[in-house]
Amino acid sequence: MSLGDRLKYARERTSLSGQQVEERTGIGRSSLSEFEHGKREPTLSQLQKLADIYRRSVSFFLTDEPLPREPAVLWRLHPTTNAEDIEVQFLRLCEQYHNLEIWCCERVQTCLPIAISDSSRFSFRDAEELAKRVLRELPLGNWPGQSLLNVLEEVCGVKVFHLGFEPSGTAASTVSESFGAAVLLNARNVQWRRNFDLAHELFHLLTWECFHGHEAGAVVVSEQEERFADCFASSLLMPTDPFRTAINARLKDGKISFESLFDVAREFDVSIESLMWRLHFAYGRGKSDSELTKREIERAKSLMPLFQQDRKDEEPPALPARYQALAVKALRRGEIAVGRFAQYLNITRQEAMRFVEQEVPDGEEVQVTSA
Amino acid sequence: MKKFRLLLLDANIVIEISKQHLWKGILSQCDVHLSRTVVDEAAFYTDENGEHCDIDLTPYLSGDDGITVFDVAASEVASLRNRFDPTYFEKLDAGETESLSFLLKQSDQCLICSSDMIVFRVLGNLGLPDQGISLEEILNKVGLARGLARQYTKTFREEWTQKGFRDGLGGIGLRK
Repeated sequence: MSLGDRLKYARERTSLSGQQVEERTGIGRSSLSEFEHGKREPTLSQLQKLADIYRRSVSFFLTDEPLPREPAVLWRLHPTTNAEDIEVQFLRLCEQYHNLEIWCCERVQTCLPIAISDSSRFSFRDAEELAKRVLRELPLGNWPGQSLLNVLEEVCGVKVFHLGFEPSGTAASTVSESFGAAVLLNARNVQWRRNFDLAHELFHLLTWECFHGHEAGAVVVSEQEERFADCFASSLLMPTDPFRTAINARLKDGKISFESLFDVAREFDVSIESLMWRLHFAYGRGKSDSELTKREIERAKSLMPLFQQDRKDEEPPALPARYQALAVKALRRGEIAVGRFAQYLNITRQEAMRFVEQEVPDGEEVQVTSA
Repeated sequence: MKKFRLLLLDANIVIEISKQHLWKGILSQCDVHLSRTVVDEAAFYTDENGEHCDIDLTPYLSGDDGITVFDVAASEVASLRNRFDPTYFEKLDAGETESLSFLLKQSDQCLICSSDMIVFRVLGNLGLPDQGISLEEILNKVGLARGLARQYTKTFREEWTQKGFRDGLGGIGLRK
């Protein structure tokens, strides 16, 4: 594919018009048209500006090879604005993370307990069993909400990014042959909502082969699959035994106060709504009690100002901690230019140069075992 | 006769020269070329009081001693890119890519001055160790010698050029 065709492809992929490109880069529409039709070549300076807004590396445009297949991205709901731009930005971040791992020789192969099942026969019981299997195989402890993000990033090699978009009730995941598994969460959501979204997306990662095989492009998720994912997330974040222990300790005559429910939600770092649905299923309420559960959830939500005001909500990191650490390592080892480092961390060149100016002692070590 | 002909500077060097107000002294003795992208990248610096200072190179662009700003076409960058595997090439920023592409197509001896380890590493890898120069060496030559941070020194340049040379011997980064 020629340079011109790649420029056109990249622009259309982010749904930018010629006018928007002109506003953001200063490159006129007629020039852009000439570039895209191969009538004139951009300079590197112009190409870099276009690469920046299309969220591509310059390298992407400098080859005649066929376009590489982009990994499919699975959304619960597409963002209402700039959906394509957000998706391309997410994939670019994953690619950058992958580059850093290669440059630092710290590639972590994605290792997750993958579900092997026939999607047509998948059931809620399978979703619960999958959650139990994950709890056995990953070191998440009794309160997985507290550790899930760290374990997925540091142990399982899943790349987790946070960007801001609307609507709030959406997140995304992808599995790529090159960079592995990745999740995109909404930075605007509260922490306990992000926990649930992360667990929900984990379900999709584990069942990717089962439900989506080798799909490319936009992936459509069925409502049923989404319900399985919610069931999985709930079972994962509130494992049966620790959950029942926490609830039973607060029961009086078979009842629990709303105040105590909020305490348990905080303990497991989940929302009150997801906790109450978990209660519904874990304590054997049937379909006929669903309306009752819904009314209780509405009541709990109305009491939030009373019982949730002091709940700690930590903002997500702009970039994963491991990604930032790899970037600094790469800079100190001469594996990345200062300007590229600044771009990868979304900081100014001046801020990036401060890292170069820090002298790191070479070769200092701590003796751990006898030599 | 100028001490350095075809002297390319990358963005970090432009920023440091601007900070130290050395343009007049350097331009009187060096024939400086800057890539368009480097001019865009070296937009400002923060002084010792934390004040934001814009870099305006306009006064230095005209006249016999003026800076020459050059552009490189995308296809000319492709020839540099094609020497390396794509992941290695991605390490360079755009200004360095443009400057190195320009350097490779010059018949006259061209020098590139940088404070970036990766630039000297690439020169070493390409077997062009003598085409890198540090800011320290330039300033010594033009009579403006002074103490500089580590990344602007000759020792720094030599260390990273040598690492690049070892990369080249090991086939690291080169397209197979």
